[in-house]
Amino acid sequence: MHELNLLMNGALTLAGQPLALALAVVGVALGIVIGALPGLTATMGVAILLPFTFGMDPVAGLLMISGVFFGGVYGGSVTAILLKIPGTPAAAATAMDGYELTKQGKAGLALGTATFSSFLGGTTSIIILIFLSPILASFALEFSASETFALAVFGLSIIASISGKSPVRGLISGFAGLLIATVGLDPIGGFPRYTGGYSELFSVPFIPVMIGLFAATEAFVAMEDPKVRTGMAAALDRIIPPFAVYRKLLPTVGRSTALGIAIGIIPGAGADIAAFVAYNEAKRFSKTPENYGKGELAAVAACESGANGCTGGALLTMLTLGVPGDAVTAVMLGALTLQGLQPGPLLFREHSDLVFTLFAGMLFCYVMMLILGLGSLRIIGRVLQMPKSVLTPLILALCIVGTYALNNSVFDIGIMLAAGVVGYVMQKFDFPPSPIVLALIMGPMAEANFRRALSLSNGSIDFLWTRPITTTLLSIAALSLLLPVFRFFMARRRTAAQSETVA
Amino acid sequence: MSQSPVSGSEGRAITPLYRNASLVIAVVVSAIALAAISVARHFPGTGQPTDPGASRFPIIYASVLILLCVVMAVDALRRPLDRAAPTLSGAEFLSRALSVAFGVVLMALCVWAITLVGYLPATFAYLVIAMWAMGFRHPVWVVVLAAVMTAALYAAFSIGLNVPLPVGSLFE
Repeated sequence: MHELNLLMNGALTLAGQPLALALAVVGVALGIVIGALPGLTATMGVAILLPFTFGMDPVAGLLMISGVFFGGVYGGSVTAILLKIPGTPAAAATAMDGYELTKQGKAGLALGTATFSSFLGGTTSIIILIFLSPILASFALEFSASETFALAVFGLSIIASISGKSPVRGLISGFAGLLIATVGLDPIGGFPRYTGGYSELFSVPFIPVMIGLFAATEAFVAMEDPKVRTGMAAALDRIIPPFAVYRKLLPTVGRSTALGIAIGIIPGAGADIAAFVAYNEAKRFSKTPENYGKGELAAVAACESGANGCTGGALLTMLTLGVPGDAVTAVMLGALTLQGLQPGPLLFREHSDLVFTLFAGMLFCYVMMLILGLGSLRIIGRVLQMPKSVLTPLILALCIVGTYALNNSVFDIGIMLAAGVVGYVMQKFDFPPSPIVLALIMGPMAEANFRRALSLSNGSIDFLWTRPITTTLLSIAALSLLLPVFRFFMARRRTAAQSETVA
Repeated sequence: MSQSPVSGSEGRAITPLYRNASLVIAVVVSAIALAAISVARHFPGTGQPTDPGASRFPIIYASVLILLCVVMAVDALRRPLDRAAPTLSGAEFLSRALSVAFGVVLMALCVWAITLVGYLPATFAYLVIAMWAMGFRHPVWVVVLAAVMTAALYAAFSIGLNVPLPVGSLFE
């Protein structure tokens, strides 16, 4: 009740600051654009805008940054659904079913579902942040290297469920991704692995690979078929999903939001991991898991609510403990410090009025995201009415500039192009690209944390079964990995038995 | 060029092209994984007795990858062949392959041109050629659209987001 009073006071204070509200709207709009452009992430958007906030009032500056953060996480889904270009790593999960829905002429429904789910996920996570910060912050402290390693393994186990019709081919993609993820500096010793002397390869060129695998591959596929080349995609259908349809998605949205918040709280885990984990859990709980990967609306809702649920979780540990949940909140931590605010338990005690004004502003940002998102979808959706012969070269030009923008590096464009060619061959022979993206996110996290955990336990692997969270996560991972493989072989045996009976 | 792997009444039959491609991919990926193991064996340790070193994870990943390639190859060899499945004619297959190859080469040339003459002329030329090659044959509109798209991308990235786009080595 005390928090509710503080929030009401914060909302009233915010209402008297029109500049802060206007900057929040600008931040959300910029965030959506940045998120939608391939190569530009919410982290980059926040970092670009940070210098502009130095001279601003703390509430106005921090709200603008929050707006970019929230808009950036959501914006990635728009191009992922319409063009299969994930604007952000988290949107790679959304692209799997979102683009399939676009191909079925349901782009509007997919975009509307993504927008509502992002809004619900994000708003719920901020409400949780307001009311449950002290309780949940202690959960973050339970996570050390061994738990983070187990979380990464749990994330990797999702490979089996996003492998499509052939688990073996999905696993090959996944392990190829894990091998690629070892390119760069060794996380403990700093030794360069497989870099060939190129400093550009000192860290895994994850985003160029992702842009190549998804966007460039789709463009190459569009180039090969003369009918596709000159054809036009359908216009947007209805954007706001019917209540009866969306009501059925609410349990998935609720579960995915909870997962997103929990993952956001864990330091080092961000929206990308939350989106993939939410996808996997939605599939596991679904009565029609076979529809996942073929254009399932619940998958889009799960990924978006999971990714946006992560925002409140990441802010929670940053504000209560001073520990950033992900890269964006690490930059935001710097913004808070520059404004003379020291994140941690004392922040809530000494600056409660400012903190709750900020919380009210964050809720306002999400409302604006919903309004701007829904309002702009029809305009953005016009890209679908462009002839493919115009759209495809534009996509490829966007891939080139977006990839270059990451590090101002032509080398990265080469990586993107190579990934596009590999992705094209993979698509032709049923190797799914998503396991590679997942492995590139989780691989470095798994290796670095396993080796750290090993050092912390003096070389013993006891932590695998003596720490409850680690053991639980590893057990779920084993189930996630083995169940789809078991189901696949059972289905094959059944098919073979039926064939023999017919013969 | 799409090859449906599963066809026929048995539901497990694959086309000859699909089988051959699976075998070639298995061999190529295994060769890369073997090379990765060979290189990883020379990675130095960290000097800490509790750390498995820089080579352990790459070797594990590469070994599992080889194993999975063997499983895929054996599976491809064991599946019956469906020679009756509809496939593309040789000419159509070649035409499609050339279209994609042209797209890749054009993009590579664009990247090379960007380093030489900079973003603006290289991207404009790329868009004009790519749109024309993909069948958008309106001489005026091709030029206008390419100019608008190049300018829009320049405005979004260079002016809006402060990303310095390359000016090209010839003009530096």
